[in-house]
Amino acid sequence: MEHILKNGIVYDPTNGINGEKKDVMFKDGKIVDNVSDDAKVLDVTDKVVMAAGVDVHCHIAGPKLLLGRLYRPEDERKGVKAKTGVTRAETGFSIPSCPATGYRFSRMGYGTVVEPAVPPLEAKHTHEEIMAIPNIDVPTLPLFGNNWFVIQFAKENNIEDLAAFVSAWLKITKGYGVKLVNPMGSEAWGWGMNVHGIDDPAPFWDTTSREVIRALAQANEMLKLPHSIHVHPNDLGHPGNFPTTVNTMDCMKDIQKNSEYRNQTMHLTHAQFHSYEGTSWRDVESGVKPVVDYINKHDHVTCDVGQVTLDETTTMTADGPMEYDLYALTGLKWANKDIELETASGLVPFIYSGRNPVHSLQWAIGLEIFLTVEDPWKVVLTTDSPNAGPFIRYPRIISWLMSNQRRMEMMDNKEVHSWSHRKSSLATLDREYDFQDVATVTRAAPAKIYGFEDRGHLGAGALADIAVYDLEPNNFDPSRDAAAVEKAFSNALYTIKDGEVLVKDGEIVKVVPSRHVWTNVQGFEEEEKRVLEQIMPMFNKYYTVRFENYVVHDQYTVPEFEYKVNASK
Amino acid sequence: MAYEEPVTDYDKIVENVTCAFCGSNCDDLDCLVKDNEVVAVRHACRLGASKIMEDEDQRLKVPLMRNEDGELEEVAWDTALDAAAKLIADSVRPLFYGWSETSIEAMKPGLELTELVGAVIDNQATICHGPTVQAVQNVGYPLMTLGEVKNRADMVVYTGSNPMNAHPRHMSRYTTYPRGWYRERGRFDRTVVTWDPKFSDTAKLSDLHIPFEENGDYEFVNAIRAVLKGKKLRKDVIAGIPKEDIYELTEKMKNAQFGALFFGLGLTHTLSKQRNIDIAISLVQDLNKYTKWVLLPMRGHFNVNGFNIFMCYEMGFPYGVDFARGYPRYMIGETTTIDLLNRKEADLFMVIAADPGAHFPAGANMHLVDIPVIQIDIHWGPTTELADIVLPGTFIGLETSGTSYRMDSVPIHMKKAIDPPETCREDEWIVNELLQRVKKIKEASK
Repeated sequence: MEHILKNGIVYDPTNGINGEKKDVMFKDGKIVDNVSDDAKVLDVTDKVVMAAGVDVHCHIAGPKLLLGRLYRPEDERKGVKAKTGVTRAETGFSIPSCPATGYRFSRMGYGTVVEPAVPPLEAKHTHEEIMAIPNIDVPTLPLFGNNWFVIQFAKENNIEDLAAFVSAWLKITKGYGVKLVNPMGSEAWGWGMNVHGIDDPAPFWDTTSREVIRALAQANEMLKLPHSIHVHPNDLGHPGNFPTTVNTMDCMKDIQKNSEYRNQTMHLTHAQFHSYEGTSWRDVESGVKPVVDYINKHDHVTCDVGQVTLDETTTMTADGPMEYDLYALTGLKWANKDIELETASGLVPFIYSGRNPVHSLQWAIGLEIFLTVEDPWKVVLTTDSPNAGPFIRYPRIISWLMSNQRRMEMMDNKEVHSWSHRKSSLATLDREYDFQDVATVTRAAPAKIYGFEDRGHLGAGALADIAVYDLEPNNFDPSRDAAAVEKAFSNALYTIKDGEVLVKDGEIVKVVPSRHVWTNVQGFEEEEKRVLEQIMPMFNKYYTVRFENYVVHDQYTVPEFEYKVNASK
Repeated sequence: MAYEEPVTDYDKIVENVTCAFCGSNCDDLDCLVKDNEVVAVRHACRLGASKIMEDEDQRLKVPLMRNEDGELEEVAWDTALDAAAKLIADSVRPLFYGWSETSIEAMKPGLELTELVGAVIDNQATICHGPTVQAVQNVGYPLMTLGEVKNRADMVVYTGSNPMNAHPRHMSRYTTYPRGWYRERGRFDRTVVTWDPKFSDTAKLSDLHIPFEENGDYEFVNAIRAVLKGKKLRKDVIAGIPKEDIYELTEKMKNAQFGALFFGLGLTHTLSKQRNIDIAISLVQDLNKYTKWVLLPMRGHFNVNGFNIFMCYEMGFPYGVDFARGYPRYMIGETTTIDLLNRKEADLFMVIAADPGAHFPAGANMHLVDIPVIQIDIHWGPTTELADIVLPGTFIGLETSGTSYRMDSVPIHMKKAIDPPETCREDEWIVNELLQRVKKIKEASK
C-alpha cells in the first residue's frame, strides 16, 4: 500500500529539514522517495509533520507499575473511559492500565517508548504487560547496576566476562540496553542503607559505584550496543547532589565510544532530580549550572530532563532507599519491592503542587536544563513518567518550552511559588523552542541516543512512523498561545505507525499489537556459554527459580523487533 | 509412613516442572513419566506430590449437561459449548468467578468475554486475601522476592499462617533452612518466630512461639508498635502476652539485620480483618527506621496472585471488577462475588478452576441453585453438583503449559510434562471457544 502525505510543513532535524513544505511518501511500512500515481493521498496542507515521537525513559510496564495499580485504585479511578467500537476501556492517570498507555501515547503521536527499568527476574512480567499495550514499539532496559554477578565482575575488573554476561542477559530478558540505578545504593538498601557519592562501597562489598559504572560502560562499548549505558546516578533527589552527578559523568569520560551512530557513552537520565544545590530542603537551590556546564563542554554525555508537571502522581524507582526517604518526608503510603540478586525498588504517591516552594523549584530546575543545554541533540523531553508527572503532560511541557510569555505568566500570577525564580535562573532565560527544537528533543535526539537508525526521522528507508499535528506554523505563533500548542500535541491529526493510520483527528482508529524491541548481540556466543557455565552454580544456589524458568521464552515477546549488532572484540 | 522402594521403571524424567498447588510455585519438580503417566515425582511436598500423583481420582473427563431429570449426562463438546454460550449471551448480570488455578493465558480470553458481555469478573481473593489488598491500598506494601529472605534474613516471623501444613516447602526452600549468600549456615543463622494462638507445626519448629489470644492480633501488633515508638505499656498483659515478652520481642526485631514477616488468612480473617493487615504493614514500615524489614502475604492458590496482577495491568483493578457500564468498576461490597450472590443479583455464574460449592457461605450457594452455573474444571467437587454444564479442562503445569505468578509476584513459565486426556480441552481453548460462540450469537442478533 502506498501513501503520500501532501503539503505538510515538515520538521526532520536528522535530515536537516526545518519547516519546509513538502510531501512525505511511504510504502509497505517504510518511508520512500517516490510512489506511483496510485498512492493514497492524505492531505495535510500547512500542518506540522514530524517523525513519530520516541520516548527514552517512561515507566509503562512491569512489576513497579503493577504495584502502583494494585495499591492506588484512587489513581485508576481517574481517567476512566468506556470502551468504544475500536478501543477497550481505559483507566488510570499516573499509572494507566496497559491499553490506556498505548492509546494515550498513540494519540500524542508517539511510536516508540522505552521502558527503562526491568528487573531480569521479572522480565517475563514486563513482556506480558507489553503484550497488553497496543500501538507502540517498546524496547526495555534490564537493570544491571546492582546485580551481584555484575558487581563481582566489576570488582575483578573482568570486562570481557562482564560483556559476555550482559550479552547473555540481554538475550535472556529480551532487553535492549544497559540500565543502572543508584549503583551499589540499591544493594545497600537490602540492609536498609544507602551509599552516598560514587566512592562509597555498599556493606559487605568492597565495590563502589564508580567501579560498576566504569565496568558496565566498557562492557557496553565492547559489545557495541546501540544505546550507551543509561544511568540513574546515586543520591537522587537529595539537596546538594550535583557533585555526585558531575562526578558520575566525569568518572567515565576516558572510555572510548564504539558506535558509529550515537555520540555519547553515557546517558544521564532525569537530570532534574540530580541537579540540586544546598544542604537541606530549607536551603536547597538550583544546581543546574555545574551539571549543564559539564554537559555543554563534553560530548560523551546526553541527558533527559524528568520535568515536574505539578500533578498528583506516583513515584516509582529501583532506587529503593530514595523512596523510603520520600516516605519519611511525606508519610504517604510506601511500597517496596526488593528483587533477589538484582535490585530494589519502591513507590510512594506524590502530590506536586505549584504552591509548594520545593516542587516549584523542581519545576523551574527542569525548565532551566531544557533552556540552558545549548545543543538540543543532548537533551530529551521526559517526565521520568510517572515520577515527575504523567506522560500525558508532554504537550504541556512543549507549550512551556515554546512560550516564555507563558512561563513568566506562571511565575507572575503565582501559579508557581516564588522559589521558582528566587532560587533558579529561570526568570532570566527567555529562550523559546521552535518546532525544529521540539522535533529534536522528542524524536530526532532520542532516536540518535538509542542508536535507532530507522526511527525518529523521515529519510527514505526509515519506518513510516509519522505524526501530524493540527497547527499551521506559518500563521501561528506558539509563544502567544500555549493552550493551543498543548491541545494540538495532545491530539495528533494523524499518527501513522509502520505505514498504518492508527489515529485520526485525535481518535484511535486502529489498534495493533506493540512490538518487543531487543538487541541480539552476535559474536560473543562462545564467551556467553563459558560465563553461563561459570556462574551457574551461584545462580542455582542463590536464586529461588530454576534457570530454565528464569529465561523469557519466545512466546512472551510476540511480535518482536530484533536489532542484531556485531560485537567487536 | 512405610518405606517405599524408589521408582525405577520409567521412560523419562521431565525436570524443572512447576508445582500447581500453593503460592510457593516450586519450579524444581522432577516428574518420572511412563506411558504418558507420572509414576513418581521428586522434590515435591506431600501436597504437591499428591495433586500430581492422585490426579486421576474423580477427574472430569467429558463435557456434561443436566438432562430433564436433573442428572448430569455426557454430551458432545459442541452441544455443551453452544448451550453455555447461549446462557452467557442471554444473561443480564453474568458473573465469572475463579481463575486462580488456571494460567494467565486462559484469563486473556476470559477478560475479553467479560468485556464483551459486560460481566463481573472476580477471583478467590474476594474470599481470602481481599482484606490484604484493602490494607495495602490503605497504608502501602513493603515486600520483596523470596530470594531476598533466603539470602539475607536473620529473622523470620510467621503469623496467622502455618506453612508446615499449607505451604510445606516454604521454610525449606525459601525462608528458614536454605543457605543464603549472607546466611551461609542456613537455619543456624536465623531466628524463627511464630505468633499464633495455636501451637502449630510451624510453631514447633520455631525458636519462639508467641500465643496471643484469639482475635488479639491487632492489640498485640499495636503494642509492639507502641514499644517501638518508645511508649510504655500500661497493662501488664496484652492480648494474653506479658508485657516483658513484648519488650523483648520488639528489641529483637529492632536488632535484626533483615527481618521478614509472613502472614496468612489467620490475620486477614480474624475480628479486625483488614485493620490487622494495616497495622502489620505499619509495623514493618516503622521498623525500617531502624533496620530492614519486609513482609509478604502467604497466597494460597498457585495463581491467585496472577489473576490480581493480570487484572491490574489489563484494567487497573485487582479483583471484583464490573464491566456492566462498559468501563471497569471496582467497589468492594458491591461488585464482589459473595455480595452479588447474597443480593441475588447475578443471573448466570461461570466458575473456572475454583470450588465455590465447598467454600462459599450457604446463602451465596443457595442462589447458585437458582441460576445457571457453568463449571470449567478438572475435578469433580461440590460445585459440580450445582453445575448445569460441566466443561472438563486440563491440568495446568502438568498437561498444559502456562504462566503463573508466585506469591511474591515472580512470573514463572510452567511447562508441561505429559499430554492431557484426549477428551479434555485446555482452559484457554474452552474460554476462547465460548468467546467466539458468544460473539457469533451477539452478531446474529444485531
